[in-house]
Amino acid sequence: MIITFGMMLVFFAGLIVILQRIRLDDSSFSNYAVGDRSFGARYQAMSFLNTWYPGAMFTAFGGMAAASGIISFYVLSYSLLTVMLMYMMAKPVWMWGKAFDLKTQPDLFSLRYNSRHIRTIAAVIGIISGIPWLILGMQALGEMFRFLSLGTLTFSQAVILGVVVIAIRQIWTVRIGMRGVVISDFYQGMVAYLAGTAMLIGLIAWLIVAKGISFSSLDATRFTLPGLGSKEGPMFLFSLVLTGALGGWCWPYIFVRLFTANGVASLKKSASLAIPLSFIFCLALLIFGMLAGMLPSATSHPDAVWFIASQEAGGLILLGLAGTVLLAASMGHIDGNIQATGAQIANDLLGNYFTLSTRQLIVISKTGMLLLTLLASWLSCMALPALFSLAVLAYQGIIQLAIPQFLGIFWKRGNKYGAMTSMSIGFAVAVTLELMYQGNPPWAYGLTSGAVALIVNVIVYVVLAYLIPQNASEKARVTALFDLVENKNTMLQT
Amino acid sequence: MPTKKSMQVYVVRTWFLLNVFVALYPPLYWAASEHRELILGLPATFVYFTAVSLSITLSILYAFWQEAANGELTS
Repeated sequence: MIITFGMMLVFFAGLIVILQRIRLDDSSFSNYAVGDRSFGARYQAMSFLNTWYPGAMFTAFGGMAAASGIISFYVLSYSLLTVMLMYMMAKPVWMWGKAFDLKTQPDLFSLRYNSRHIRTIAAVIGIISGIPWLILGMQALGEMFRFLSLGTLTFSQAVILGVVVIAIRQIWTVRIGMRGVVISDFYQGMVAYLAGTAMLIGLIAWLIVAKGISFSSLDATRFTLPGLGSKEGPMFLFSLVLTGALGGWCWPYIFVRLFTANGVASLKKSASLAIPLSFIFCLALLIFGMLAGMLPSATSHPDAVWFIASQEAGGLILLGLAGTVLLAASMGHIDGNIQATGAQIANDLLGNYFTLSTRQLIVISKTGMLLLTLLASWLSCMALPALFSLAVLAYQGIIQLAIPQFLGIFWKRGNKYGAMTSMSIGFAVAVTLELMYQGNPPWAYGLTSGAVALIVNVIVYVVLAYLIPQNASEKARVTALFDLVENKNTMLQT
Repeated sequence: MPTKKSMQVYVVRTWFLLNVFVALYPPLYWAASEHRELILGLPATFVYFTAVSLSITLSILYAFWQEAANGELTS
């Protein structure tokens, strides 16, 4: 326990040293919320990865690969498609962000649809949907501490320890804001995805050479995908990949990454840096999961396959490293979630209806982060049996932001009536279907509730775009927005 | 006659669309799942996912490379 916990302590101490060296600058809310749009490609790439791949990748998706096989590879497809979306969105979103000082995802909705209330709707959906995932992230840390304590800590003690560690970490998130999040993401990302990938490749080699496990050792059923006549339905994989790729950019803490870059070039370069790393890391993780699932000790605990294989291959030292990697990945996700939520509470909820000074915005944002950390910490220590169902429900709901978001960025015709109606109806349909059928309506050929709702959502959006045409001034305003992207492709870059 | 630059833009757009198609079109993954013979010693579904992912990765690297080479990325 001293070895495993000691290694994590060294990592955590290094992180604190880095955070302490960051200069505090509260001179503007833009600085606090989006780091003054000052980050280059390398910081952007690592910040994106550290927010995109949480620690649960090693447990939930590693476990899924171990238990269910090749179907888990859907996460690889959608994770890379989402970087492709980033590449496509980079120019309009960053340029609008720079020109109109956008700081949050709801800010973009408000700008594109010229509506104050859409900002509130998007913020409320984003904040509420993010809370179950925050709690799950904190509880996953508890699971990790329980494993790394080698049986010394009970589950409750381990969860409390996990909550305490992540709560201490939030002191710097609250103090420094986005600048602290992005800089620490770089350090955490190096540990999680560079050291993590090296470990994964080493463990795959160990499984093949020392344990004699290869793909040919696996049952053929581990390589089948749901097709015609399958229990899940023929469209199941389509649905998972589509909602995963579109849904990623609906999370406020992912979307805000588009505003922290210092230019379109940095964003696009960050995509080109992140994608090979994402490809190798995710592929290695899933191959590792499938092979390590054959270890006799992992068959009954697939979610712990990362820890089990690490300990068997390299004893307590590798187990400590496995814990450090997972801790680094978890921190990036949790920090990003808390930071983005705090910024939204100040900017999109209170700031939407009251005129607030920079000082007031920052104080409200910090208070929001502190309260959210305390609320999530408290809830994490409780037994919440429906938490995972709530998190799935939240995901099916939040992806309904995708239609007004993406069509708003790439299509001039959409209007605020269509945007608000489509995402509200989409959200209601997704939640209703999720509650009625637990995710997979039996008549939908494998489409998940969120995917069915997306169809309704897009129909409503497009129909209302044609039924309620924009008036002349709105049409001119939207055209000017799109012209800004088309005609001044480099002028606003710094 | 299309310029070299516009041709490159079409190549990137077509490649991106192709990525979306092969990643999402159900008959492709149904066929991979039903294909029992190994491809280069590997299961067909594994080859399918790896090929799709590699294509997406290379398409972004190509898009960035051609935009940088054309001087479209100035910062």
